[in-house]
Amino acid sequence: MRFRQRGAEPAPVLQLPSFRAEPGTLWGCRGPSGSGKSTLLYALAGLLRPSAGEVAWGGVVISALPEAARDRWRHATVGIVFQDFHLIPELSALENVLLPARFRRPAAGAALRERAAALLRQTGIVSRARRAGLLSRGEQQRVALARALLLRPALILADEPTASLDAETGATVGALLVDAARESGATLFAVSHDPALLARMQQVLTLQAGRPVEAAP
Amino acid sequence: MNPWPMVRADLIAMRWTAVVVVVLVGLAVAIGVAIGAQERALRQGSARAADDFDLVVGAPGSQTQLVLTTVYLQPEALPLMDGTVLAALAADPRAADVAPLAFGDIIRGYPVIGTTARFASRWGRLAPSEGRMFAIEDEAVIGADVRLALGDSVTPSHAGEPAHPGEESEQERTHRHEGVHYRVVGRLPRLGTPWDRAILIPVESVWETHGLGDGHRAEGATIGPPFDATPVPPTPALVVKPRSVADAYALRARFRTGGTMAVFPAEVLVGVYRTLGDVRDVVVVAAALNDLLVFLVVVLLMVTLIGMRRRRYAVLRALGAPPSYVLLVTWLGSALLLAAGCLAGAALGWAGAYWVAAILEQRTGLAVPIAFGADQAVLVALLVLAGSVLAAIPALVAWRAPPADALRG
Repeated sequence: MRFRQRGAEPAPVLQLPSFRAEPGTLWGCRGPSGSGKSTLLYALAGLLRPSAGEVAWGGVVISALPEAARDRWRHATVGIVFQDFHLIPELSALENVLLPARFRRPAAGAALRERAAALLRQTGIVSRARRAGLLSRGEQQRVALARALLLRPALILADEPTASLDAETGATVGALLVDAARESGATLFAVSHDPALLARMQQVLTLQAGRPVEAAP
Repeated sequence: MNPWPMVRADLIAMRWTAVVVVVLVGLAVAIGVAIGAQERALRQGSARAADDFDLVVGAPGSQTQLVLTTVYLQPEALPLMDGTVLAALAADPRAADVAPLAFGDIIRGYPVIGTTARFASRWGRLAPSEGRMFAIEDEAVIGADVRLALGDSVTPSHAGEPAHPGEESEQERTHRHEGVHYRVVGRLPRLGTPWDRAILIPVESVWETHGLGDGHRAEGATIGPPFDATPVPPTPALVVKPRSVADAYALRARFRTGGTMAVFPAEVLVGVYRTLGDVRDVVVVAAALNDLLVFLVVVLLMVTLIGMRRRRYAVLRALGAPPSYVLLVTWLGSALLLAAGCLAGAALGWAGAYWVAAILEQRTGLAVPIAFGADQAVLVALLVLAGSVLAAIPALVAWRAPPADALRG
């Protein structure tokens, strides 16, 4: 798989001869800024297409799908957690968790609402009706985690999920993330600088200047 | 899909901008709506005021002035017309009725009009709502809005300058016709015209007050036609009820020459309305351009706001939202604001038109019936439609934005 920055840079942003994650495995990804970690994450999410090579999930070549099909696939398969949470601050914690359910159906059924509430309980959010903008950073990331898990994703992608949190909160969120992936049997791919989080992973991919580096986890 | 939670969140996020947009669009739309409503109502109100004035005959001069003074009681001295015209019209079989109108005096700022009981009751169409019609020279009936009571005795003054109805001016106090008294015996129902502020007396009283006799040959004759004195005293205007449309044209032809002028007030008003309509058209076009400019400013504002929220919409895409969801959310947000502005503007425009109508009625006595017209509803609907179409511009900007760029930027 190969990515080129738009423009005239001669060296590709990311050049990955092959990367394979077995179902249900926990993968960490580290590397200095600009090493291509985020590019890889967005490629796995089907938000970026490689300029050469392909991205496949199961038997489906994601990178070959048209945009609408990729959106559908992502909606059904992927849950994403961002470094800066990216909640909708004007909506309540519960509404934020339910948001992915709004994209393709008119109303969230009772079962989904129950699941959203259960996920918030599980992640330790008590004030479900509170506006997301008023929550602490740790709480916001836990709401974001619940949002990522709502539709039972088979692939959880996390982009520096602990980088905006202090060490203690980061550890809690990291533990929740790993537990959630383990419990549901989802594959986890977490880009991180956080040694504590990376230590929880089964395998770690290290990137340097867009190339994989063989290194001990 | 269900865009409403996001639409609500977006509107909350930009609440102050939203208020400004609604106010801005509202004010812009209100001007056009108010002018349209006001102009139409003014036309209807003024046309209705001329209803009983089929044909007006006066001394040669300005046709518009003759209509303004007779129909709208604008205080302006009209030249007098020889009494033979009244006699000629009374004898003409094509005229079903004719009544002299004599102006010039005031009582407490209300114009005093000398005429016949027939015309005071609008050719028999109206009966006094209180009391009765005048029956002798010293009696008066008052318009619905005249603040006098039945039984009051009043003295007219020679009016020098336009007076404020209900107020006695210094001039009125010093120019009284001493020894002349009228007793108020009746009140007329509301017409919604300046005549609601007039005091009507037998025309014989006006003639007598000004030393012209009473218009009757016999001493102590009952008031009203026939006016058979020689000569019949002069009057500034005569209002004629023709027997038919053909008679109306024939009478006008006869009395528009030979030292008199005959006009159909409705026809004079059509000319006035044409000018009024031209002015209205210019103002409405200016208001529409104004609306368009404001809409474009709002659209630019929305494009900027949506640009600032690129990442928010990219997150939705990353969570699996199709581009059409983002399109719908952003379009609904902009369209709702523009539509709310249009509706607020319509409400504000109507309120403004009512307010202007109330001031106009208070100043002139002319009732201006503001009513919801289909054309105004269409105007507002068109504006809402234009707003919805324009709202697609910012939505399309958000629609095609690649989410990965915004997420990493």
